[in-house]
Amino acid sequence: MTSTDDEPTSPPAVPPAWRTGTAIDEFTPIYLALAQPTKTHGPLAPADVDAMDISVVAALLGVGAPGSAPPVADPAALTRQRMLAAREGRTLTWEDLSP
Amino acid sequence: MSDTPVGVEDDTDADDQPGEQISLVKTGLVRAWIGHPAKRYRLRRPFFGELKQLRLALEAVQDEIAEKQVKLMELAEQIETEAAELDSDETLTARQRDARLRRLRQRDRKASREHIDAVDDLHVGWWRQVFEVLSVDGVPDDMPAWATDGTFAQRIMQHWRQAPLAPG
Repeated sequence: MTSTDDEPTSPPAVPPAWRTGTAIDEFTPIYLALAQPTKTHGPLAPADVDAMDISVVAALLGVGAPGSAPPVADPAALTRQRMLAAREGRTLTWEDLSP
Repeated sequence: MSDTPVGVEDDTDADDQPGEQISLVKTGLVRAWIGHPAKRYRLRRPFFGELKQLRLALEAVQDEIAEKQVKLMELAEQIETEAAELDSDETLTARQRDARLRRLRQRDRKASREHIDAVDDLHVGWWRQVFEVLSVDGVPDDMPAWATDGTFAQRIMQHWRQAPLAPG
């Protein structure tokens, strides 16, 4: 199989992976955040989120993208985290969204 | 791991890089040169579901390694107990005691080697899954030595979390 770095790749079929455990806890806040409708997108189901490129997910969350809308369940908390990250000279990462 | 040949680079064309190495591109892509002569493999940025799938698979690997570690420690304790019993067994001659101690040491080393091999296999299996899911250049027949490094698996997950925003 050959491809260039820029070629789009079709989303794969990913089985649902909801289960108890620690790793899934890192993903839950992101599903919850994207389930909230915003001006730019409607409520997104987990299956829709699973089929998105991680850069799209990051852009929708406004993670590390200054000026983009923060469609997270608690925008005020996200703003505080952004300010804290900026003070530390870094951009937000997904870890900042984890509980 | 300090000897993992890894670097972070801008998203420039790097076709002519020689040797077996891996580069974490700021866009979230990964380029690896594997084999002798080295062939380039490109791992695209994962979809969110794939990232979750690989993270859960890595967690399963870590859980299995932890279980194996507990069993190895239990065996080590058992061997220590048996060695202590040999020391206090006055019915044995010195030669018999030495022979049994040698067998205990062999058991200990064999278990340690098997543990290391099993852990390596688990990490390599995870990397094989990564290549099966994300590689646009197929899966290498033989995985490189850095694939046995568990900390590097965590680093690559971190890479996908921290560098997802730039256009690919």
